[in-house]
Amino acid sequence: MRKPKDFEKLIPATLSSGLPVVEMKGNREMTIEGSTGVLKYEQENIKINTKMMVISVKGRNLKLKYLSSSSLIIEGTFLSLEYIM
Amino acid sequence: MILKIIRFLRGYVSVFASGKFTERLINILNKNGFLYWDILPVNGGLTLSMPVKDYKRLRFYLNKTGIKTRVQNRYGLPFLIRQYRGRVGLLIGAILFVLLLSLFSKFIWIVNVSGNKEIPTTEILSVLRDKGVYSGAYTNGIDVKATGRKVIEELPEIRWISINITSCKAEIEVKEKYQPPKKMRSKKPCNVKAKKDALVVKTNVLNGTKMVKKGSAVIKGQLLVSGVMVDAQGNSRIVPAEAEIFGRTHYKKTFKLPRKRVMPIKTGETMERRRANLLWFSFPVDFDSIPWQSYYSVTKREVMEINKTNLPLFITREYISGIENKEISLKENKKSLKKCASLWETFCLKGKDIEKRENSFFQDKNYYYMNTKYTVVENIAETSEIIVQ
Repeated sequence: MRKPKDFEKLIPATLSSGLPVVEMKGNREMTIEGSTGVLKYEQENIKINTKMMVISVKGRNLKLKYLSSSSLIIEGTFLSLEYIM
Repeated sequence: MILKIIRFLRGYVSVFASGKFTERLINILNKNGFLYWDILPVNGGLTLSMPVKDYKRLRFYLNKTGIKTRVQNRYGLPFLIRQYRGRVGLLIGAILFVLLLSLFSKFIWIVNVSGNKEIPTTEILSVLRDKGVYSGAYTNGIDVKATGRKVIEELPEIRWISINITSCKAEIEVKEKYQPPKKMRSKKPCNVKAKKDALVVKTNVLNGTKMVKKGSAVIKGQLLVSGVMVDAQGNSRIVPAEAEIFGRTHYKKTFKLPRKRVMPIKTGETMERRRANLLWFSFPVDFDSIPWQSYYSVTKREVMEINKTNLPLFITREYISGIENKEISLKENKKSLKKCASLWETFCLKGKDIEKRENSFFQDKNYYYMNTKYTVVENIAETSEIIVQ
């Protein structure tokens, strides 16, 4: 079956662009979709690798609540969120 | 909860990973489909938990990464089995416990009866025992409906019975019949006559014409209350006479006891023997033999209970006293004669008011005697049917 002409317009931009999707519940829980691996894992700092950038989360008592091949959930008290290009 | 049970059954380990760049371990675990949980950063590395099978597989992937892993704790059924594999007795004991529990739960341990007021509990339990419901009975062989019907046939005072057997307890609930009061009045026309010679002391006429009064001397068969009643107009009618006529009468009785009486008397020496009972099993605790040729024993049962519920486990204590035959003296004979008289009065003068007793004692070569003359007040009325043609 052939793809329609404006195929890319039918897919949400967040999925088609390769950018990670970050969803936060206040400063206590964060969901990141589009992760490719964990670069650093400490209680004060977690660095997550994505396709286009590295996301650095700083805070207190940070821990990985859930981790899969393409998404993860971090919980703890977040103090800052940094995007490293 | 189910997840925890599954993890316990499969067995899991808590692992400490150390080395340079331990975050690589997380990426390896993700990429190769390992199952893990509770991953936490600690000083010097990471801790995580994972199934035993996955940990054995992980060591292959960690070669050349510089990451070292060390098992901190082991959890789960496989490790328990390995720990207690030398203690077979423990396993046998556990299996025996389960078997005994399932076996004993098939028998009735306790029988409780409730709802009875007039019928004694012991009587109901006795009938139930005959019908197969008792402590130690096998529950599977009991048909509760048929047993209930048989119990009602045996005890017609029971209106309704319910037998509930739950695991090892039998709850019996009964409802008794209401007994209608006895009819006091006879419908047949009759007179009231004296059943023996007496001096009338009290009259209570319910129906009929009174023919005697207080102080009258009457003889046996004499008319006391007539069933013929005459009204003010002179008309007569025949009714069932009913009355209580109390008269003073006399009884004479001679009691005798042999002169040389040999009676068993306790020596004062005693001993105790115990038996333990569980359901239908009974085995002795004390093995002492009885040293006396003649003895007297009283058995007492001590039932164990928990929360006011009797268990089918009890100790039977037998208190044994030695006895010897002894010849008794005159004084004791007077007491014995009076006891004989008391026993006779209980059965033969029941319902009669004894006003006076006159005892006289005498003896001959072989016996002691007591002559007793009784003065008694009793109801001397008896009905005598009037035959109307």
